[in-house]
Order: sequence, then C-alpha cells, then structure tokens
Amino acid sequence: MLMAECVLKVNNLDAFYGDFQALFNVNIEVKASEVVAIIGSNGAGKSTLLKSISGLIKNHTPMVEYKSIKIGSYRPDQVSKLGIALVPEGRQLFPSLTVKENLLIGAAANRSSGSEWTIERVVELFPFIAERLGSSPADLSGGQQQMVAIGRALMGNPDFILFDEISLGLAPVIIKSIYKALPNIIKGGVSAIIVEQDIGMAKSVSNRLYCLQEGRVSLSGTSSEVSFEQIRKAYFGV
Amino acid sequence: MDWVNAVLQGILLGGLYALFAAGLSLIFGVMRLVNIAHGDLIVLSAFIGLTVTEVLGLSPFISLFFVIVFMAILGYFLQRTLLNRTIGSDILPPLLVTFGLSIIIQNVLLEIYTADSQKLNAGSIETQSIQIFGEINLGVLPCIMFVTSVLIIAGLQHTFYRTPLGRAFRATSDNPEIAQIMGLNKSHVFGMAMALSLVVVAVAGIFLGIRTSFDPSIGPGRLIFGFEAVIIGGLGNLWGTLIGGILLGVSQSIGAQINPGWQLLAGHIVFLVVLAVRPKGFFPRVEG
Amino acid sequence: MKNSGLEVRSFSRVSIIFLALLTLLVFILYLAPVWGSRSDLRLLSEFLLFLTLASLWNLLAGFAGMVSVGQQAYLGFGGYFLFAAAMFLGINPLLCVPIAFIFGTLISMPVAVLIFRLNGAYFAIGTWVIAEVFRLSFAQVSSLGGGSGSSLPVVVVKKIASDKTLREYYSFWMALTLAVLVLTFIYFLLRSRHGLALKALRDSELSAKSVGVNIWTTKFLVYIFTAGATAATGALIFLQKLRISPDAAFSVNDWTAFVIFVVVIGGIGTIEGPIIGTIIYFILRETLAD
Repeated sequence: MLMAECVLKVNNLDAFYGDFQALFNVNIEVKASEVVAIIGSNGAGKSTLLKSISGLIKNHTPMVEYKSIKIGSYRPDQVSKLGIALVPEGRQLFPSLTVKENLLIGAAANRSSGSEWTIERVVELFPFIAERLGSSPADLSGGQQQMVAIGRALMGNPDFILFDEISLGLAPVIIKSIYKALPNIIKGGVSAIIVEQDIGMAKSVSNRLYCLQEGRVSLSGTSSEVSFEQIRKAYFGV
Repeated sequence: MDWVNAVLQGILLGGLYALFAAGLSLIFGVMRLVNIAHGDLIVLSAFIGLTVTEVLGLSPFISLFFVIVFMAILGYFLQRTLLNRTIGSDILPPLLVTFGLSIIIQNVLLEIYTADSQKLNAGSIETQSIQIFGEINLGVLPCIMFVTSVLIIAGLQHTFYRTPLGRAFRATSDNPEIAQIMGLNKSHVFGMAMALSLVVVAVAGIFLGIRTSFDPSIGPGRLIFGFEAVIIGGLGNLWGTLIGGILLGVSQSIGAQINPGWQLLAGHIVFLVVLAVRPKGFFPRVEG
Repeated sequence: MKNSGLEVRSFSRVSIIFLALLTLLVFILYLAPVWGSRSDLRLLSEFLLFLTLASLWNLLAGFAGMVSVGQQAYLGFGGYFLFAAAMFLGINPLLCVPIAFIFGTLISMPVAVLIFRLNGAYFAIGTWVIAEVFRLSFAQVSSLGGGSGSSLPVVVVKKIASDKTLREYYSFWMALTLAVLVLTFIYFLLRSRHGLALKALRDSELSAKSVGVNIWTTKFLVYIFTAGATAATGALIFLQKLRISPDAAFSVNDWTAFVIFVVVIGGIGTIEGPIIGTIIYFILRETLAD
C-alpha cells in the first residue's frame, strides 16, 4: 500500500442522485503534490466523484477524507474553506459578474495558504485577462472562459484543485496551452485531480490515474506504466 | 397650478412607493422569492416605531435606528429559519408560507394594537413647507423623504455593484451551487439579503407612519403598490423601480385630483396599461 | 388490427362500483329537502358552494399551475351581476346563475390576456390587483350601493318562489347541481386529452411545449372556465346571503385564504383533495364554533 503522505482519501464512496446510484464503492487516494487523472466514458461517474468531494453531493461523513478530516457530509462552502477548489464542468462563470469580479469572488472564502494568489499573478498565468477584466464572461471565447474559471479557483488559494473536464468544447491548440500552464498552477505542494476525456493528455499530465466504468473503479495505476490496451479494456469494461 | 401641484405631490409620494418596491425587488433579484408579507412587514415597522417612540419618548426619526436594527435581525432570522426552506423550483411553498405570515402578522398586530388608526408624530416639521415657483408649496417632510429614498436606492445600487456583499448576492443569484464552491454560504447570503430588504422596509414603515395614518390591515395595499412600481419600472432594475414608484405616485395624485375616490383606481389602471403595452416594464433587466 | 392480448381499460370493476355509489350519494343529496332540516340544507348548501370554489382553485393552481390569489374578483363579480340583473332587468335570480357563468367567462378574457404576461408569484399578485380593481370599480357604482353595498329587495327574491321553504329548496338544488356539474366537468377534463396536456404543463412548461401542447391556449381556456364557474358560484353565494358589499364580495381573507387552506390541507393537484379539505374545514368550523 502507499506509504507516502495521503492528502485526499475517498473511502468506499457510494453516490446517489435521488434513487439513482452513480458511484459504487469507489476508493481513490491522492498524495501531496500529486496529479491524479480520472478517465472514463460519459456517464461513468467522473463528475459525480468531483461533486462528492467538493460537497455538491452530500455523502456519509467518512466517505471523503481530506488531511484526515472526514468531510463527506460537509457543505460546499465548508469544503472550499478547507482549501479544496473546483473548476466546474462547463466553466460556469457568473454571468452577472465581470471577469474581474469573477476572479474576486473566487477569493470569497478568505483563505490564505503558502501561495497567495492575486489578480496580478493570475494575469501572469493568463495574460489576455489583463485586457478583459471589465468584460462580461459572455464576451469571452470558450478557451478564455476556461482560463478565467481556473483563475477563479486559484484565487481561493487552494491546496487541492479539482479540474472537471476543462478541455470540453475547446480546440486542441487551446487545450494544449491550458495544460502547458498546469505546472505553474499547481506548484508549491498543490495536489490535483483532473477529469479528462482525452486519454493521451490524461496520461501525460498525471502521476497516476484511475479509470471509472459505470460507477466503479476499473483500473488504477501509474500513468507512465499503464498501457493503452489496459486502459481500453477498463474504459469499456471488456 | 393645481395640476402641477398634484404632479409634484405625486412625485414625492413616488419616493415612498419606490422604497416599498426596492425591498421587494431586492429579494426577488437575489433569491427569486416574492414575499407576500412584505407590506405587512412595512406596517409592522410602523407599529414598532410607534411603540419605541411611546416607550422611550423619542422622535420617530431617532426611533428609526432601533427599528432598522430590529427589522434587520428579524429578517435574517426569518430567512434562515423559515423562508430558506421554502426556496426551490416550486412557487407554491414560498407563496403559501409568506401568505400565512401576512395573515399572522396582521392578526398579531390586531391583538396587540387593536384596529385603531395610528400615526407617528414627527413634530412641527410635518407642517413646514417650502415655496417654489412662487405659488407651489412643497412640504419639507415629503421632500426629505424623497431625497432619502433616492439616497437609499443609490446605496442599494452601490452595495449590489461595488461591494463584496453585492458580489455575493449576484453570484448566488446567478448560480447558487457554484457560488457555494467559492466559499459562500447560501443560507447566510440569503439571510443577509432579507436583512437588507427589511432595513429598507423599516425606513419605508417609519416614513409611512409619519406621512399617513396606519392600522394593521393596510399591509396588502402597500404590497400591491410596491409590486406595481416594480412591474412598471421593470424587473431587476432599482433605478427603474424609482421611476415606477414616481409614475404610480403621479397617477394616483392626478386621479385624486379628478375625483378623490379615484386615487387608487387611477394607479391600478396605469399599472394595467403598462402591463398591456410594456409588459417588461420600462427598464427591465432580468427575466421575471 | 390483431388483438395483441393487451387491453387498456378506463373503467375497472372497482371504479364502476364507485361510480354507482357516487350516483347514489348524489341522488340522496337531491332528496335532502325530504330528510334534512332547513339548517341541514343551509349547511349542505354552504359546503357544496365552498367545495365548488376549492375544486375550481385546485384546477387552476394544482393542475394548470396558475396560482391565483385573486379569484374573489369573479366571485364578487358573479354576486354583483346577479344583483344587477335581478334588480334592474327583472331576471329570475336563479336564471342569473348560469348567465353569470357566461358573463364571468367573458370578462375574464381580457383579464387573462393582460395578466398572462406575468409569471409565477408575480402572476399571483397580478390577480390580486385585478380583484382590487374590481372591488374599487364596483364601489363606485352608486346604484348598487356604492361602498356600503345593497340588499336584494324582497320582491326580487320572491321571483324565485313565493314560498320561503320552496326558495330554500331551489337554492339548495341549484348549489348541488352546480357542484355536480363543475366536479363532473373537472373529472372528465382531467381524463381527456386536454387533461393530459394540463398535467404535462404542470410538470414542465418547456417540455410540454416541445411536444406540441399549446400552452397559452390551454391555460387561457382553463382560466376563463374557472372564472365563469367561480362567478356562477359567487352569484349563488350572494343570492343566499341576500346582501352584497364590495368588501364582502372581494375579500381576500374570506375567500382566497379559505380556499388555500382547504387545498393545502386536502392536498393540491388531486381531485379528491378539495373534497377532503372542505370536509375538514367544515368539521373544524362546526366543532370550534361551540
């Protein structure tokens, strides 16, 4: 078993939408400074997993453990204050807020950590934002919105970031440039879970990966060692 | 000249109606909740002001601060314990609960204060007037109230668009789920919105009590004026609400000038006409 | 078409028995003048009229999704219509009831066009404003007593029947017939194609639209029917009271609050809900009155 310091543990997680069970007995671990990828087909439960971790779906308390605190039944704002940030599926910037206000609201939890994120630092990461601070999110392209959404999550000074399908609907060139910024985003001991449809990309940016299939973990392993053949089998449940 | 006077009086009255409307509009904007008890809360504020002035011997203007604090706390508490539970996709629960609240408030007030007409006494300032254009006399008090209303609406605008709290309001209104991920406690944000709304309600209630006589039953009428001002002005726009209030006040004033019994009807008819030709109001900003 | 062995039966054996019992009950009720005292008749009348009101509100809000706190507009309208038609046109008051239905339906049409521009809770308050407009307008009509209202002259009342007991029988039967008609109509409406459209509409307007349900027309038809039937009920209520005034006719607390209570207690969106709710309301009222 893994002996290194474990920051996030998901223990035997069952997740439900009403009566519909989306996750069955899922076990995941993420260590400090680690990037873990979650892959799987649509409906496999990847977003459900992130929602359970971030508190948008309530579960039994011991099912999610962060830095030894059992947070399964925490409210999303409580989870956020602990240092877990979510970059939600579909970006979901606030339409009534300008780009700058979207970034500022990311800091609403008033958290400080080792690395202090400011608007200036976010602009260093994604320079185009400097000119768009007063714009409405609707005026931005998909890729630009995604970058603002990431910046918004960073403004909360998180120690742990959940990226939910950030490449969805974006051109390959844009996706590449976003992932190029990833090391800058998570330097300083930040851990991350990346939900990603593109398997090649998932393998190349992560230390380890899990594959979900119909709500269950069908594969887990070190990204560099896992073969495409293994992934294919786990993906489709063959 | 009578007509000019009527229009001016109507504008000043409109400031009060804008206050009725502003609290209503704020709540709807932040949490899509229409508080049927809104008018009764205004009347409640007037009665609390009455008690404070009688017990502490203060002028209504000083007692205003006590009433504001009381209503703000009441609003926060009411939202977090009761109204937050009713918010959801079904419009019936909040309607029923606030309707029930309205009836409860009216009956409680009836029990404590009886159905007698009351008035807040602001002293000599009530009869002072200033002269303009040589012939028109404007009451000092209505002018002060109008200016205060404008300042309050400006204050609300400032809060909404230039403060972290306002940011929280807008974000939570846009997307309550994702707003929580930013660290905003939805229950708390809604509670603060209701508290702010009831601060405005408190001022409206005291102004109402000074301006006219009041009794436990007039709440629903105030709700309707506030509602009409919101619709005329356009949903989601606080300055529009001011215009709406003014238009309503002027309509009523002109109607009263034609025939005293037509005051209310004139206002309703103007409302219906606006509904017919400009259903989204004059300056709409959000979807109803 | 080959019989696939599956049958869709609208009337099961249980429901036929139930229907028979129901018919028997209605028949017994029509005979109430025989077995009931005058106060029994009065109570039953009141119960039936309130039941009709509650069922109509339930149709509007529970099934068509239109929450109205202003149905008293049509209630009062029906009452005033009967008084005006009976006093000024000399029409038999009982005949005024179905005519009130027609005129209630007519006047609700422009109202519907106006207030359908509002949604949700704002629609509700809009209906309230309409009721206020009705109240203020009728208070202006001095020939109907203005703000203090008027009583129905004896000579007009005697047009129903010269004998008091017979008048009470006629009123009772009218109330019973109205209730039976309205409830039967609602029942068959909900089982029909239009009822299906209504349920779809209630669940999701957008989805209903996407399968071709004409939302506006459906809502409009339900609204004007409910208005007309409420007007007819109002006409009968004030006929029995023999007195009308703007405050009594258009009171929010009297009518709407009652209706909401009944429907919430009895359950909204079901046919039997208003029945149960009205029964509970009357039990409570009679026991607490002691």
